[in-house]
Amino acid sequence: MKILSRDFTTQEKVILLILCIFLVGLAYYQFVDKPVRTSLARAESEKAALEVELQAVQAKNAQLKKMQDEINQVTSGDAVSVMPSYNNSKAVITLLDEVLGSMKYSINFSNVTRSGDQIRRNISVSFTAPNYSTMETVLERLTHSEFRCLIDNVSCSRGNARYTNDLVSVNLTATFYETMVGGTSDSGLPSDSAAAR
Amino acid sequence: MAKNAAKKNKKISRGRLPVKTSINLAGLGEKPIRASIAVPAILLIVLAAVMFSKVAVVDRLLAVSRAENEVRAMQRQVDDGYKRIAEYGELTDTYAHYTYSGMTTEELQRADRVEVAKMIDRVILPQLNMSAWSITGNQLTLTVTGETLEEINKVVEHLKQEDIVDFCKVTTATTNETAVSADELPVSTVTARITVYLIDVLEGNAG
Repeated sequence: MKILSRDFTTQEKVILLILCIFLVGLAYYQFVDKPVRTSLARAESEKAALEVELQAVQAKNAQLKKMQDEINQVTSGDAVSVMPSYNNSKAVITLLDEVLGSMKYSINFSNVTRSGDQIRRNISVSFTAPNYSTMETVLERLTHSEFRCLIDNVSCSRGNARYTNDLVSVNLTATFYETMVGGTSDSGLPSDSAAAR
Repeated sequence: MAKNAAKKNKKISRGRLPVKTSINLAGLGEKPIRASIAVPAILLIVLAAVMFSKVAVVDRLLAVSRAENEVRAMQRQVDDGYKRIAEYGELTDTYAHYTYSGMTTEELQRADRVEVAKMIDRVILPQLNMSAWSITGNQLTLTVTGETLEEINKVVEHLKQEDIVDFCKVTTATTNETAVSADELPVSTVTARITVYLIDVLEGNAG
């Protein structure tokens, strides 16, 4: 190589070689290494964020699937009970009127209780059924009514006879379940006991 | 060229004239390039350049491309997930009206009172006089009257065979003497209290 009027000395050649290597390295760093690192770091951070988001989405999907399965399971049974939105007292009273009909009865409506979205409407009913099968019918109609109702304590007494055609006195407590989802608060609604805890 | 250089160094003998008529001064002092060294060296340099490009540039750009593809694939998964969530629509509201998740364990385990009443109708009433029964939680108490304790015990054994019954026992038994009429002898009967432990509904379903 003879650019000048003389050859480069070995020292100059070494310096030029180092300079070339430095320039190539600089160009590599500037145009390859730095953009690649930036892109990789950006991709990694996006991936990490998406992983968190994906987990949340998958969890939500799993939860919704579980909900759907539970709904399918509940609605596939013979007796489907639905928790109506608060306040369903009017419909409950209508139901009780239909179920107890012309029997002698006494109903005590307790204050509703609330735990989260779950509302419980507790009632105590005393009635006299003309026979045992009528008492069974009352229990069945309450339990399998369109509104979810669970009967708790039942005490039943009848004439000391072997036959089923005696008057049957019944005292029972039952709970009608309602939900705050879709419901409207009113002054009869107590504070949330679950939130108070 | 190597030959010329050799000749150049040869001492020209007297009486003989050099054959060469021109001298290229431009080539003076230039070292000859040996192909046997230059070609492998060039190949080595090219190979090094290719290797460097492959490892330091192409592979790294491919890594970036791979990472970006992974991000895009993950983004698609997230989008699909949101699409599926959207397909469920108002499920959460519907679920709130059907779920049993807000109920307590005691409520979920509570034996069906209708089943209990039917069992009494089927097992007790045809065989014994029953003056009262009550149920609290999963414990049923029956007050029955039979002609003998043996008769009551048979009913207890029958009750134990029922699907909804876990265990049952006679807790008290007392005799009664009832005069039917003045002419007849008093009729002796036994009144007993039977306690029946019912199977938890959840346990029954699991079994």
